[in-house]
Amino acid sequence: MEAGTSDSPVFKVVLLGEGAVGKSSILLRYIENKFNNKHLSTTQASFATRKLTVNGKTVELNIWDTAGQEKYHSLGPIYYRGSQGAMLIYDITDTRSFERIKNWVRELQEVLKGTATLLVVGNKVDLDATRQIQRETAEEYAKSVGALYAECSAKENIDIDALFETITKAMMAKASEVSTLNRGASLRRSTSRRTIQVSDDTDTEAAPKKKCC
Amino acid sequence: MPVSTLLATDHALSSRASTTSLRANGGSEQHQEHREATSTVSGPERFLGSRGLTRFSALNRSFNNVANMASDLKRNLEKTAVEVAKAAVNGGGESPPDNTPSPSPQRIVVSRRRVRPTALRQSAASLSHDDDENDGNEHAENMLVTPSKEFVRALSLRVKTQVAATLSDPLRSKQAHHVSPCDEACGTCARCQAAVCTQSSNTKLNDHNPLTKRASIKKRVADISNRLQFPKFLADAQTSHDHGHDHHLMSDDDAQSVGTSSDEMDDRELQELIERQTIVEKYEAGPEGHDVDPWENPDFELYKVTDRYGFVHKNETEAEAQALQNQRNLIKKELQREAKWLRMLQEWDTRHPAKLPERIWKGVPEKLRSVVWQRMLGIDKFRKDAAPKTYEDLLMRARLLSMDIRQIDLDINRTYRDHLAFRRRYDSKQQSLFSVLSAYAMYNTEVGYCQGMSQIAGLFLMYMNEEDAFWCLHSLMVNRKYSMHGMFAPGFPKLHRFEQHYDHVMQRYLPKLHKHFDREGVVPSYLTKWWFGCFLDRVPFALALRIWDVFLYYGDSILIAMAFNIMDLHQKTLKKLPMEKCLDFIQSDLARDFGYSFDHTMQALEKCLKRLQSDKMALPPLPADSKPELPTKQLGPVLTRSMVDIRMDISEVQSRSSRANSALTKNDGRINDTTALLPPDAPPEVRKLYWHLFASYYYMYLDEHRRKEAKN
Repeated sequence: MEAGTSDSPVFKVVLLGEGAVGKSSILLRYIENKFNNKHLSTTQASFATRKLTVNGKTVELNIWDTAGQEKYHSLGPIYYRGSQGAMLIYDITDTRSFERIKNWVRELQEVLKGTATLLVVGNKVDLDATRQIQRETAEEYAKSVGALYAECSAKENIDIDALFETITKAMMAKASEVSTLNRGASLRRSTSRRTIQVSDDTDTEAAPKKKCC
Repeated sequence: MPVSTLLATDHALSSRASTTSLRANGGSEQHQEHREATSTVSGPERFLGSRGLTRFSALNRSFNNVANMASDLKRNLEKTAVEVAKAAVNGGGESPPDNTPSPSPQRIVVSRRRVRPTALRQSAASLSHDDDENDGNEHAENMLVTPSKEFVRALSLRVKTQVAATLSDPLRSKQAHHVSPCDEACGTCARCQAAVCTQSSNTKLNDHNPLTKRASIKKRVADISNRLQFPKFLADAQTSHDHGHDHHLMSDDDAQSVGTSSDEMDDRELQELIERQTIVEKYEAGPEGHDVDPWENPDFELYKVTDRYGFVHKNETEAEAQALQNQRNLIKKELQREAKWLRMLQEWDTRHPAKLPERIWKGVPEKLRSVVWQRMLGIDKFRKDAAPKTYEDLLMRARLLSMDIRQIDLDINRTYRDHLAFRRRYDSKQQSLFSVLSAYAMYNTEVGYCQGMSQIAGLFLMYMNEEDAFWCLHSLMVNRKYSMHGMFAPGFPKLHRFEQHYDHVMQRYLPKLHKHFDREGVVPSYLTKWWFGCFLDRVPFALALRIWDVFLYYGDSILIAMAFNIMDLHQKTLKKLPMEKCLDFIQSDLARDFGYSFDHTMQALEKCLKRLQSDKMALPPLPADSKPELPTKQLGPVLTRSMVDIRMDISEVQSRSSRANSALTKNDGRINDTTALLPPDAPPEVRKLYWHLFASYYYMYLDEHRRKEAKN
């Protein structure tokens, strides 16, 4: 593996969810530690990278932010294809946005077949007073689809870093599992040619099923 | 009252509302004007700016006033008309007071289903038919009861006087009918209900204050729907005859059955209705009308300098960089060019000026952009081809019906917030943007509202008024030269077609860079943003304007040519960068500093375009027939529906909710009007008559009233 400028493994993470649930805000808070409420709507998926050290290992995250409007759903595959992780973000004060992530989960499970770590994220916990989706409900749902669960607030900077740490840990665990089992990491070639521990092997469908911490 | 009259008055009404909603901002001064308007916090400008909206809310309020009147009507008609109604219902027993063939009483036995809005519409249509032919038998299935002529006359007279009274002096008519509850305060008898109605109408006196108005939207919805209900005496007459049951017991049953049967669809419909109403009200109220979350408004302290286009920058260096592009001599040059352009515009009236393309490449003078752009887009043709008042009619309907309002509202909150005109939440340009987008979503229903359109509409609004911006947006979508419809339509067919072609272009002209991208895994995700907004937000604004100048002249070949041009100009830099940096460079670095002067960039673009054209590579092959890139559906389907119909549907949804509510929260003092509600099994004939009289007189008198008001 030739990881471009650095030797650290690269993970691709995609942010999905309905419009205005705070995908771009989470990204902005994580990358620049800013909360800019007048940000532009994301029509082109924007892209950011960040290095972080987890369990003494440095990894690089390539984070893709996507447009939230339902109409852009059909462009989704361009972004989530080949990603090792997906954050499914909803707004805890908006039932509709929670329903929307269920669609994403279904689609990801079908297309990526468990190769990606899913993290369901309830954003805007600062608005707990008007909460519509109870934590238990969401947690239960996440469990039922083999996804992780976390809550955060981009506005108040609550647990944003933890979010990315959680998903990175899970992705690393999954990657090492894949490599030790010497399964062809069916992680794509085209977009992320620099995937982690790619062992060239025949294609395998039987990628490890759900794995959570 | 024939439907045609209804429609005519409806039209007259909308025209009245519309003339005010169009702010006549004359082209070049317009920009300056709104800059002043937005920087003045208070004062008459603000009201001028949002006059269209204020007018609309006034209209809405009048409708509510008349709705108040409806509750009065219920009470007043009781004494005189109840016998007539009974007679009509009893039909076969006694000789009917007129010659109309009366159906046998058995036929009155009522189906328990609720009458859906569509059913209402159908029957309304059939009524107009009957007026002409005087033959109800054709519609026997709808004709459960035929009210007598006298009854109609009595009802009509009452409605008429009531409407007149309410409109001429709403306060007095309300006070005159003050009613106190009966001794037991039972809440079910007529007096108690009247008292409840009066109370609610008294609280309505504060309507003009937007703050109290917004106090509880749900309550308001419930109030309106209560007041819009079917006259109680008719319900009474019918139920007592029908089963001899205690009438309020029976209505409770009804309410419960409705409450439990209100399926998810209904809930959703109502939810959307309320949501839409809430959002529309925010825009009507304007920037000071209500509690804007402080973080929704930009921090003014941050901004120091504004550039000539109206964008505010956070620090002076950025603005200085902008100023460099607009040095004095450049501005001098532009002044000279303005004179040439003005002469050329005159020439353009008669023939296509030979010098036009050459001058377009040098950039349209800022002051003339609005005129020249509209000309190139050919909006006059589209406006002329459409029915008169299309925009206003769409706007009125969009406010009541649009399903895209939520998304539009979200996106307005993040469209050009660093521009003077758009920085203040719910201010006049945001209101305009809201209007243009919601109206367009009702016009071109295949596209509706798609993210990315707000930037385009916002750009047009920087240069022109609402309605012109609307037609510019439309031309951009459907004019074959641009056919952006294909970009925004579901599945983005044109985007994919152009993406493929762009790949060919890259392979052929920039093979090394193409290879580099391939190796690095740079996917052309940046194209979406580049093309949907024709490079807005991805290059400096002043350059984007220059690109728009030529885009509007040459059409969509500019999209490919400019993408190629950027790659060509920056290929050396890009070839050295890894994937992450490539994307960063494309999405943010170029917008901050393009790296080449704008004139140089435009010259290079011209070369690129010519090169592609001579190689027949300027445009991809035409789309396969399977994926049409122009609208295939009728434009503005909603325009065929009258406002009366729409209002009726809405009150239907509202009444469903209040019925459901009253079943659930029976002891809640707010809504205890169960017995006065339109019974789900009310004969459609009576329903439609009631609505018809009500609506037609309402519109007639409103029109007259406004005329008088205008005279004064």
